[in-house]
Amino acid sequence: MSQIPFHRLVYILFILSVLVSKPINPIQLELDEVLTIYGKDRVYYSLADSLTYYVQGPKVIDIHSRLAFPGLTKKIKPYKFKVVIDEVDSFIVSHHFKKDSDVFSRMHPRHSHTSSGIDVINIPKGIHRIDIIPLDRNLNINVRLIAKAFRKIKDIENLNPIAGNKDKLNHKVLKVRDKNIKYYSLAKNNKLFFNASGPSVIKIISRTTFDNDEKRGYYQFKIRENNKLISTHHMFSNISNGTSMRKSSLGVSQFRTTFITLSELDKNNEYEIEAIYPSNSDALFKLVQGK
Amino acid sequence: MRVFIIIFCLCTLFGNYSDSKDNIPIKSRLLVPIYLKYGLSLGYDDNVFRFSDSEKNNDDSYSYMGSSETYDSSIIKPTARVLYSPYLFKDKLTNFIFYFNLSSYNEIKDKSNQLYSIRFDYKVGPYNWFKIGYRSTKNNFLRYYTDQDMPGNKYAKCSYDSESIYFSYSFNFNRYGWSRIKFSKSNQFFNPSFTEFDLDILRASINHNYRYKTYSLSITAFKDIANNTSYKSGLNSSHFDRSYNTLGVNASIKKEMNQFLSYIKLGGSISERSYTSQDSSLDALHSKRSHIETSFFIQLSKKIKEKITVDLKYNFIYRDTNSDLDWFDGSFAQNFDIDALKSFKQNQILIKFSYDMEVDLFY
Repeated sequence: MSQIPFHRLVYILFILSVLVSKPINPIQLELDEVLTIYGKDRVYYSLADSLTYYVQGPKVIDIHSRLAFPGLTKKIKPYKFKVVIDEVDSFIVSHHFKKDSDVFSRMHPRHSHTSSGIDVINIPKGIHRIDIIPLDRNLNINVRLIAKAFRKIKDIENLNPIAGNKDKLNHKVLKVRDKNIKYYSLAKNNKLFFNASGPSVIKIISRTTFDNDEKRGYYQFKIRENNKLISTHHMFSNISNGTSMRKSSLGVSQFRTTFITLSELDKNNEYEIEAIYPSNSDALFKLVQGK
Repeated sequence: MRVFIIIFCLCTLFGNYSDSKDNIPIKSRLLVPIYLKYGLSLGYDDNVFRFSDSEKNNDDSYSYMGSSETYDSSIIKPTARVLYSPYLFKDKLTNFIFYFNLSSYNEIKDKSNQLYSIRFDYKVGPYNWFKIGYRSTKNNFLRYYTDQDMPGNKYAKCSYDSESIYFSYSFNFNRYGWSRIKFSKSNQFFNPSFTEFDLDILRASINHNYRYKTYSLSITAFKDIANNTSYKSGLNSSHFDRSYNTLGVNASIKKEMNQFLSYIKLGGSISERSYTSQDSSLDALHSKRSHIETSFFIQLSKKIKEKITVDLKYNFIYRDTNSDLDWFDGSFAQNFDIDALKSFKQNQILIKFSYDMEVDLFY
């Protein structure tokens, strides 16, 4: 028995996972902007005004954003916009990218576009509202939201990351009900690295910590693949009542999951996770790889 | 201007709109960003009248300087450039470039003049362009001369308006650089006192550019054939043919720098003009005359901010005139050695502040 049938199953699952990723539209449909990216048409929406989306969770939402600018511009500006979830949680997306020459807009020829910024949020069960609000109306930002389902993976193996600064990677043991689980701890701007090959799925389980009476917190981290930023993750999480940190009085949030899908073409990629926010508490990570 | 309107209409009507990338509404094709560049030059010219050394030292020269008290002057020169690049052809860049400047000579009001131009560029490929342009200048003041058609040998202001149309085509020679051939036709219409000098000038030039590391080299050879269009037009003064030919070459070298300066550029030119007429009995000043004009410039450029650039340019011109004849000036009842009279040196220094901006009103 070879592994061929198994491989086929993985490919089918991979293709299905791509197929079930679908763009979602805001209620402001008239702000559509079709961009031709590497020869394929993609519907973006212009952030000339606020965009409002309604999403049925649970879903992982990828917010793709690109800045449009006059084609002969010598210096590309950074851009920002605000994301508000259910009119309660909010964060600011901030990017500064280079020009992507393979993007063309039929509606606005003679404009160029930056590479795509991908900001990822996890949306829990139920119908949720996402507002995307421009912070500088002089900038022409186009966004596209993709909704993906959470995945179940099997044949799980732990990944052993290394620290970025040749130091030993700091780890914490969390007591989750009656289990002790090891998490890697990253302070702001600290990084951890690991290598992985496809076809497979990497599952990143993350939490934040609370050092006072906070009940809900926001944390942010970036993932780079072979030194190239692939996504920025924005997580909101409540404190977990059933979880505690050994030898520490810090509170621990409920976990959030992030997936990285590797195709058969991904061979020994180097991945990097960098904690970005908050500055006063650590983010905790546990990494597993599966099929 | 009509030529450019026709080009614009033809491009709009017959652009290749066959595939999906060209399925673009006409409004989107035309409502594109506009790029503006404003400039302000401040400078000094030490010999606006192009006086020879003997004229500079002769008090009689003041009698043909009009209201000016000096032959040098400070200069203020605002400029404006507009680049409009509508999407007329698939994957082909098309530009319409409008340019305007106003030169104001504070001490010599007669010299102040205006220039405007419009150019259409079509990019065939990398370093491969077709360009057609029109350029017009008003009030190109030379100096005060005696009007030979009027009695009394009184001095009158001599200036001309000029218009020219040109086209050029550049070729990409890849690692050997790129070249451009250019043809232009100009008309110079002198003011009513000096219509006998009206000219029709044909120019052909070939230019080659080569880049080596941070150095850019450029060399141009040109030939002018100037035809005196008012020759034998009926006036007394028009019995002399003032046609001439010019042959010249100019070259420059530019070094890109990423230090205090953005780049430094050095260049120079040499040209020889010979007047075709040999009949010295009618106009000794122009017969059998030729001159060699050499010039040299150095330009330093610095980017102060992303959109603000400062350029400092010094230009030196020396004209060496050759003539076997002397010229009798009726105003002063004396003979002048034409070699000494028409040779001159001129120094000019300009500092230019430029500001680039984009207008993206239609996104």
